[in-house]
Amino acid sequence: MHTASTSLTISVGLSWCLTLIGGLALAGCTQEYEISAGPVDVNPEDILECGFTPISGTQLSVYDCNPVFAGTDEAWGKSFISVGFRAQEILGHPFFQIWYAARPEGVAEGQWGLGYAISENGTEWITHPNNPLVQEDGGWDRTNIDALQIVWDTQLNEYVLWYQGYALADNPANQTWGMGVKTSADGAAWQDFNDGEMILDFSKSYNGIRYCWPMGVTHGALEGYSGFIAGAPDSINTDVCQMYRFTGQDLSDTSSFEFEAEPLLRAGPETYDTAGHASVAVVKWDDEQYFMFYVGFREWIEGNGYIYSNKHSLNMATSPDANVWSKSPDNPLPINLLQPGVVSDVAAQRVGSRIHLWVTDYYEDLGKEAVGYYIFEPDIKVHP
Amino acid sequence: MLARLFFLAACLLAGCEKQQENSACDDMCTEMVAMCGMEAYPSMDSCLQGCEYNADQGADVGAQLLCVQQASCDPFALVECEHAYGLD
Repeated sequence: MHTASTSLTISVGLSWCLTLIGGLALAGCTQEYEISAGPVDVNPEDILECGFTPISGTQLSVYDCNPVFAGTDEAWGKSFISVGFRAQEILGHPFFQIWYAARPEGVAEGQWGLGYAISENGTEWITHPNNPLVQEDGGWDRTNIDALQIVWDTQLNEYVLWYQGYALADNPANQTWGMGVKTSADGAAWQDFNDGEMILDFSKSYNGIRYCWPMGVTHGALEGYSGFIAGAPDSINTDVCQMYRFTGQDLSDTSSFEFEAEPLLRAGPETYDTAGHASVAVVKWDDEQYFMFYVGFREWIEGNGYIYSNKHSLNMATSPDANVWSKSPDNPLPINLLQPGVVSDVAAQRVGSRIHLWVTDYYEDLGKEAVGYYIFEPDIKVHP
Repeated sequence: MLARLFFLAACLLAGCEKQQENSACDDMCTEMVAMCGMEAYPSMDSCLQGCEYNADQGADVGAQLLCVQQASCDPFALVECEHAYGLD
């Protein structure tokens, strides 16, 4: 009995002691806020000065204070050529990165540089102090770099820039057109890839296909690279540049990349893309739903000894597996600012329950091309 | 009885470990929202929710906090902190 009583006393004493310690520990660890579970889903309207206006008959909304990028005030690059967009979440909230090719005002070709800027809200940009990060050096891409595409390669832990480069010359035999790649660990210091040489020569035919220009690149940790490139079979006599795909896992072994023989998306028969495709952005929504936003064009026009795509529009296609695509019956999307359209580029990325879209178009009030900001919401009803 | 008490103590310690994560998120969001005034965050709570979610998904929020503090509100450096220690 005595023994039992002592044991009980010790236990009670220990319980009190631990309860006291526990209480103090809990008090010391008390959480002063309550956090709801799950990822953040920021509504852009919560952080932006302007709102978004729904576009009737679509799931798109347009930012009321477009454009969000029309170039910068940097003396080396007041005329922007092309811009690649990327959304990077920090603690679940998107920050927006752009890399842009530009040249001094009044310069028609060459003298290009590569700039980098970041925005906390997608509309106001902080330029990198070391801009231009890369400058034209007289190489195979000396006239221009265009169609910039940026991905973060999770295997390399590096940014990878894909672009179209070319050098014009009076003698067509001396001209170069190709696809180049550069890499960077921090987005600011860029290294040449493939010793600075192009990785694809657009003047040559590969397996019976001649390529026109790169249109878009995606990278997933598991899926690796999916690149989209305009091209056409040698056997076709008419000018057409339709969408082909290449895939690959390891950038350090581009010889293992596979270029598909059949187009991923054919030009036409719809009139809005009967002559081909100019730009594409593919977004994985879930395991059974993919969205493709692409610029199609109706015709070619001649000028200065070259042919140019003409009458552009933004369009959409959907797929259950990213392999078989169906063009939307509602194409073209009613967003182009001019008729006929001169939409030249599209970038897209999923952030939470929304797909953010950046569309390059001609803004008459500015008298130049600039980038507009749009939101696509797959889970909402079509706007009335 | 002693085993139960040790179990209780272990639970308390585990709780404290979780609270340390919360503390890192507190400090990180104070840095991002209050100190740097980053417009990406509509509120302190929104930032904390994102940080807690990242921590639950395996992000090293303690190391990211040090990186964020060293970044001194430079957005170019903050992005790379996320690449190094966040969910990428």
